[in-house]
Amino acid sequence: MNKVSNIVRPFARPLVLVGGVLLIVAALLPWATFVLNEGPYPDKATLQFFDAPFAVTGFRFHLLLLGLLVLIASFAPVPSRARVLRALGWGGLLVSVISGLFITIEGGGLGAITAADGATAFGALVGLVGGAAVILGAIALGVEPPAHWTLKLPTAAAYAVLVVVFVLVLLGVSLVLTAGGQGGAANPYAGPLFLAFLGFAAGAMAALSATGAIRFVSELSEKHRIFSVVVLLLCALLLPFTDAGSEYWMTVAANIGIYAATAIGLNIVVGLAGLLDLGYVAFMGIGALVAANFSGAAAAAFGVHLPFPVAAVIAAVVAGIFGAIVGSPTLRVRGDYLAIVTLAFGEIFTRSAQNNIGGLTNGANAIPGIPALSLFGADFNKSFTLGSIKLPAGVLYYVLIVLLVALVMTVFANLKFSRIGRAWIAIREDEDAARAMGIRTGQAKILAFLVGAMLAGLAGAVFAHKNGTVSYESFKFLESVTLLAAVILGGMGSIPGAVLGASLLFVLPEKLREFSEYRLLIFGLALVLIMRFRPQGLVPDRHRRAELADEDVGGAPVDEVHEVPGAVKEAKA
Amino acid sequence: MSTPVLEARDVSMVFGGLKALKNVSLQLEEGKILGLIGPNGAGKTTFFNCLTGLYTPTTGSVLLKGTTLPGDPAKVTTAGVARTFQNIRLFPSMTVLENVLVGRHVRMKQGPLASLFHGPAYRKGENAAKERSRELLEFVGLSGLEDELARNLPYGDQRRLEIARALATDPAVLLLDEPTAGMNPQETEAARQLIFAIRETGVSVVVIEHDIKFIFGLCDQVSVLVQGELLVEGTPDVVRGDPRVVEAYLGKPPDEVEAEVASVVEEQQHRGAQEGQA
Amino acid sequence: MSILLQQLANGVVQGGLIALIALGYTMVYGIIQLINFAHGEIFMVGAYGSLATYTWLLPQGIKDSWVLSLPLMLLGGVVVAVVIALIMERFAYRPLRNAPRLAPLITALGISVALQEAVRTFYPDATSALRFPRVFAEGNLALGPISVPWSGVLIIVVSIVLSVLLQVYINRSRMGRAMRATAQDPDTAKLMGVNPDRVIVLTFVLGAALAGVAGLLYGSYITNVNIDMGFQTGIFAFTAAVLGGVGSIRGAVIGAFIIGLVKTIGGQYMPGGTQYDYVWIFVVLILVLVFRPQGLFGEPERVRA
Repeated sequence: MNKVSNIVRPFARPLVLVGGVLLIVAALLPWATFVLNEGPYPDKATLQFFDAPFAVTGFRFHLLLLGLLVLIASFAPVPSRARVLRALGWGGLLVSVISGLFITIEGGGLGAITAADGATAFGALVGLVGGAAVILGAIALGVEPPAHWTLKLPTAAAYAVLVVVFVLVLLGVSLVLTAGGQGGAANPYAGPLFLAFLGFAAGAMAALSATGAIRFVSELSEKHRIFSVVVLLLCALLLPFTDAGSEYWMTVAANIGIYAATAIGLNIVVGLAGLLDLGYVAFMGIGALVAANFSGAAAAAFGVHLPFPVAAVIAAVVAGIFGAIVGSPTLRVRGDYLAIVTLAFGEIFTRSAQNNIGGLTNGANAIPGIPALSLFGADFNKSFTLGSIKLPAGVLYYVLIVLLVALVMTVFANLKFSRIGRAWIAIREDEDAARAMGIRTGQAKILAFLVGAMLAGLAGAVFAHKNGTVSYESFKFLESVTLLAAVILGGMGSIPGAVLGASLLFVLPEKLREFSEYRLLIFGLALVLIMRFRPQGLVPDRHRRAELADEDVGGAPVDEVHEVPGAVKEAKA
Repeated sequence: MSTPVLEARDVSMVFGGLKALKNVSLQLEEGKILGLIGPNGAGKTTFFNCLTGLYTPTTGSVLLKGTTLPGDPAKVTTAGVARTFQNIRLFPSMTVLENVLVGRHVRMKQGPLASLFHGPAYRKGENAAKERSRELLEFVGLSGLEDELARNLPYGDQRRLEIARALATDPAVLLLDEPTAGMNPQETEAARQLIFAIRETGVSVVVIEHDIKFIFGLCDQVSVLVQGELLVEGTPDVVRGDPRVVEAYLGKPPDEVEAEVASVVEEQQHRGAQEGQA
Repeated sequence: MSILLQQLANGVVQGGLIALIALGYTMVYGIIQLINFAHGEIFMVGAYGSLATYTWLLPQGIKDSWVLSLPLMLLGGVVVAVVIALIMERFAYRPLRNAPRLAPLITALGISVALQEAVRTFYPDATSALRFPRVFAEGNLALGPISVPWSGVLIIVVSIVLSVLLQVYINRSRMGRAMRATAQDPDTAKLMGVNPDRVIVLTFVLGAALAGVAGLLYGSYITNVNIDMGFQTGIFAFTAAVLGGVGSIRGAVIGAFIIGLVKTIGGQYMPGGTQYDYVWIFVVLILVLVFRPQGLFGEPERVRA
């Protein structure tokens, strides 16, 4: 890599400019020589089709944007210019590759994106070259660490910035959800369009992050934590009023919310305390089963119908007790072995639930017919009218789950920035040193398991009522791995990370139905790739961000470059 | 004689068939600095681990102000014995301030519920802990670096941070495991001054060190550990002159050692002169 | 009584199978302290490799004679298992050698999921269990009240012979010495001229080869294979390795036989029957980890400071 960038160095700037222009040109060129099976795919996304719903999903529009941004960034005084350019280049490359690949596969060969039947379509190739040129040029310019703004804002201005940012986030979420449509038969191109959109979004976000803007905002929000939570909560509650306010998306968003809440709970155990829990979803299962059994459903073990809040608290407490039991081997078992113990507990749960242990789980038949929640006579799974606005069915569940996520986030954040949270992180970092600081590591670890399990139990109770049926099938090993993946993908120890991770892992399958056959395969490979190339996750915790800031141009592993001299040599002493 | 602040009584430690420590007894008087020296593998770190509860001695006991210490590092720290590690063991992805706050852990009262709700009493305690931690950072000379990640500190600063973290537990005795390993002369001198300053605050100190010059220039009392046994103890002068030390520990002909010792003395005088000038 | 004896015999057969897989866990853990979660999948892939060899490569004439088809299928299964293990080691684990310990473990989980799914997606009809030929003498060995299929007898014999050979190889050969040195202290071994990459690769290859053998034997004994088999059996094998003391060859084998017996005897006599046979294995695992984490033959871990 270094050799190449040495050769390229004198031409770095022109290379970037040419790349930017090529991206723009690519956006204007035709993209396919074939009329695709299900209709004229590229035509739908030409520049003429900027109106909804293709306004945001038209990959050519995104390319055009990226190209313009490249040109702007090469002239305007942008902090960490090379890094910004590199991110934009990657965005362009991804959009071109994804769209090009799709057209190639659907169109039946390379002819589809070059020349065939007298038609030419070099859009994808030009885009690819443009993106690559920008990346190469940017690397040759010398990629520096992302900028860090030391700007201090007065409180009022900070609040204003936060409100604006969060509203933009809200619109962004709505955009992502609705991008490419609902998938399935309605729009055969939804999958690739959405993937291309993700490529664009990733490039744009990385560029934004390179300018230091994201870090600035996140530090701002950490400083004004309570204000941020309130605004974020309000924004989330406004989502039903945006384009995403359909029954379909409310249901999807509610499901994401449940898993996000659970993932944040898991994040306490894994991200803060550093204890790998491979059976975590069992606690959610326990919570769901407890709530189901107290719901008055026909197959419930107890013939009582407790009010939901009471049942939810019982669910959390029971799950918490199991959490403490599962966590108790941590007093003696360390590291990898602990992961295996939790996995064993998880499997025991699945096995027992499958065999209807104690008549509590109804085995393979599940517990169906759990009544929907209702409040003041409003059924949670019916549509709902607020004044003159009719909101789609599922909105109330969405609201409930947003509140649940907010609660779990608050618990996480408060604990993290407290004496207990520091003890957990200390244990994660170095258990012996933590003990030498007077931390009762055993108690602290069991507490982590207990709190995590209670949150999962609570989420499980909501899950039971929302879905109306509870089966052990929903709480198998793979679910635990998925939750873990959500935590890791997002960034361990980070709340926005857990939400983002859960969203990606549960939105992507929804969006990419045509790839559903490969879902788990991709998922497994993705885990491997994340660990290899970005172990800190997409939104790393502040504590871990420094490692990524030190990222080196050639992509060498960070640790090798930035070990403190001496500490390494002595580690073996 | 008053009760020693830290006392080891006949501490022995056996690993499998290996006797790492044989009936080691030590007494540390309040407000003193005790140096523990010995060749590699003499059992210094094992002894330290016995003092801090990381190992439970096979026989014998460790007493703090006349009370037997429990065999659990966390409880030992709570009782008032803090330590640093030979190969620095900070919490690398925590900030400097947070590292010290972890040291405050045992002196803070907030339980899980208070940590969850962040009430007024909680915040008061948290602020007090932060204030104390900042004082300690200033004391060891790290003020202004509190938001740095520990891993990003230079080596010498990491050693100092480890000391601040240990001091945050409000110890009666501070155990330093090779505090100057890997340091250059300037840093070593700064460490010496810091240890004197710690003694001034009323904390008694035990230091393990390879660097005998450093030990002789620092300690009120020196003990020599050879092959798990306490060979000699006494003031630096006594130890320096003891032929057994010369033979067993230094393993060099006496005259060579004498020359080295002489150079130590010379250097100290020289340094004293420099300080006088400054 | 005869039921007990029969279950004991079944347990020994299962134990032999588990032993072959447990050896892979124990060797890899011994050398690089990694719980190679995906090792169970290597066993599964090995079984499918043998089956593929049988289905597509062997002509009918050879299929009819187990004397010919067994070694060829064995070769097929072992080659597939070893190749997958090599790829896995080179591209997934090796880059993470100095990463925090969670990273390789999560990678292993990812590989495990991906391998299962790859077989499910790309192996024809693998969505349901596939029939596996009984590539060994039909019929049973009858010893009084006990009757063991000849394929079960084969498992017992092969597992014992291979573990003894492995033990001898590790104790006597030059590479074996290098392996032991690396397990004890990788840095010093390196200074002594041992190439750690080669040792690690060899460890993966040996483990995968044994797992490939186990895959074939499993298929032949149970007469069907499915993509879940690696996960379940892998966990049993891991438990056996832990029970015996991770890093110890002898321990893994003895642990495996104990686990095999726990499974069959527990399934026979404990409440819940075979529905809960796994649960007893997990209970054993948890108890061992809590009360004797170093296992039956392992050295206690010393606190580092």
